[in-house]
Amino acid sequence: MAIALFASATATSSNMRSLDLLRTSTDSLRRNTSRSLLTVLGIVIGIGAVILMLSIGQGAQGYVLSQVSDLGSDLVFVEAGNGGGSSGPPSPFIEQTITLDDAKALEEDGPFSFVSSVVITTTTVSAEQDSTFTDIAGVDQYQLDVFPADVVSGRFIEGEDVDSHARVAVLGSEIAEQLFGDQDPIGERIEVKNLSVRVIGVLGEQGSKFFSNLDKRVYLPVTTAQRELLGVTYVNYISARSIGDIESAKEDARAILRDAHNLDNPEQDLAKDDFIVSSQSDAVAIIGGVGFALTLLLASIAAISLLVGGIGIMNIMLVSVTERTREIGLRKAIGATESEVLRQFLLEAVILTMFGGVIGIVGGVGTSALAAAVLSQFVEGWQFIIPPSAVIASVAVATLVGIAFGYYPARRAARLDPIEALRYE
Amino acid sequence: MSIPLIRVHGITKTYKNGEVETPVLHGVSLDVHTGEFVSLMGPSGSGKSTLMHILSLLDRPDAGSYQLDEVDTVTLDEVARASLRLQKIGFVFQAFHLLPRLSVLENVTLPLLYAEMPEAERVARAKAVLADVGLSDRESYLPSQLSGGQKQRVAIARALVNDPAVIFADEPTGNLDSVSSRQVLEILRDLTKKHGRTVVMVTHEEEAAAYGDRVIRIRDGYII
Repeated sequence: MAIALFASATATSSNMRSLDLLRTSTDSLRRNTSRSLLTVLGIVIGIGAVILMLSIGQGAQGYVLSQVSDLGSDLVFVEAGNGGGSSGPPSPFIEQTITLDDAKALEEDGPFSFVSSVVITTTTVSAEQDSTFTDIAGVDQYQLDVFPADVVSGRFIEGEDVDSHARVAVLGSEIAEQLFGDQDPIGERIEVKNLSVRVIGVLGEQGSKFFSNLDKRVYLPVTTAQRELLGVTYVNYISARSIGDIESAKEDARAILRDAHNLDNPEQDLAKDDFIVSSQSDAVAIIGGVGFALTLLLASIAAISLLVGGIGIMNIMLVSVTERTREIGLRKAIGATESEVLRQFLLEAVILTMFGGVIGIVGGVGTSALAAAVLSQFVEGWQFIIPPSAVIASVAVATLVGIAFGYYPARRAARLDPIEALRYE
Repeated sequence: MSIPLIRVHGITKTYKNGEVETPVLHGVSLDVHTGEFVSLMGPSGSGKSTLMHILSLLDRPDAGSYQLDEVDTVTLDEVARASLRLQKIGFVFQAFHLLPRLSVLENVTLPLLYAEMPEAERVARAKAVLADVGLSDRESYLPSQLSGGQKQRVAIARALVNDPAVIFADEPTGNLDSVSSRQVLEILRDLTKKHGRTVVMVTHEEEAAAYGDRVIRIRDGYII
């Protein structure tokens, strides 16, 4: 890129041949290898850091998106809250206004095929062998219709269990393994906090969704969890599969809930509602925006080190110009023009930074892979991502840094008076 | 007689350092013909170096005219003057000014880089001029591996490689012992006598100046 730039500049005027210019510049860098390498280190670190930060930012974004996507674009969530359409995982710090009656109203009057209510908490679960702290989900019989999962043994919670507040539980694959090992848990009793329940089923592996490991969940009938475990009447959220256009389904859901909550809101101002209706695409859009901001923040911080690296280049180029004052004087005396001297030194700076950029990319990709490998140990579903745009941008930025920070020293070299320069001791 | 290679008329030069004005040249005129070996002599502060810098297009006069090979140099811009130095002038300095990290051969080819000459031709010409100064066996040496006299012969080869109209030698023997000095001066004289080249040499040694066909003496900014 830079070479093409210089070549085209050369073609327009009677000047040193571009290949010779390139060789002159690389020669003087090679003859001072250790200094060149040290100079380049700042750029290597800068570019490497930018790549690493972009990779981590994109990885985080990808991870977060994977937690909310794949649910199906027809999925509508209803949760308590107030505001102009904010979204995200249910928060414990808001008044819980959603009840099973709302779910019933949505099921009866809304354009939904399945409506499933969920109340969640975290508490101790113990069996004979073991005791652990884990997520509890109070659900109804439609849960698996909305969030499909395999029942590998026994059965899932049914309508009758919900109606009768049955003291039964379905275990996620990992918690079943943890509490019972090889033993068949079906029919065994476990203690959920102080509530003794009977295990009626075990689910297959599901992985992680909404930032919680579904395989470590204990499922109870929603009514049992509400009354026997928590002593509440609300649900944390309702999820429903819509029929037809999702946006009109969301509007219908809002109308039904306003009616059910006796809200007078004819202008349909979302801020006046005590509930939030959202869809997967809303969540994806918000997370995408947040992820972009996060990536930008990380990359900006890394870019500061690139700036420092650029200043390092300028510093060394200034030292180099001073050291080579007599060389510059000689070159000018024997017929080098200002622009030829300028281009020689500018090209040296650009070669340094591009070289540093390439090493930085290799190093950055390497450390990103390492970081992703470490992160995926702790965060299930973390992917190693290198955005190709980051690599291209890095090379471009490295070149620009070389031109920007190399220009001042190069101009200083070009403007030296040959008589003074030749006398320089 | 033919038109002189160098025609200088009424050149003046004054250095200003703040309020202080130091006149260095007071209307100098001189001609140098092709094939001449001219010695420019004078004590330090006489203005001989300034005159040399003006003649070799490294500096500009305040007033006066200077034609080099029938080109009026006073009106030229810096790019044109650089190009004229490249094509018509060879330099030999007291301090040699060889680039320390380049080999002897690379040092000699340096001016040809700026002349946009293909590499094979550059090397061929550099080898030829190195042979002329008797240093064919030192092509791959670094300057630091050479004696003072050898360094100055490399510098002469570098001055010759672009086939210049005139060679300016600024105290070429100032850093050399008497044996090397004689060698260098003989080479310069042979260039004019056997090869028809033109040499203008600044020196303050009578012995060196005597190698020239003609001695131009300068004192306090006047030719005497």
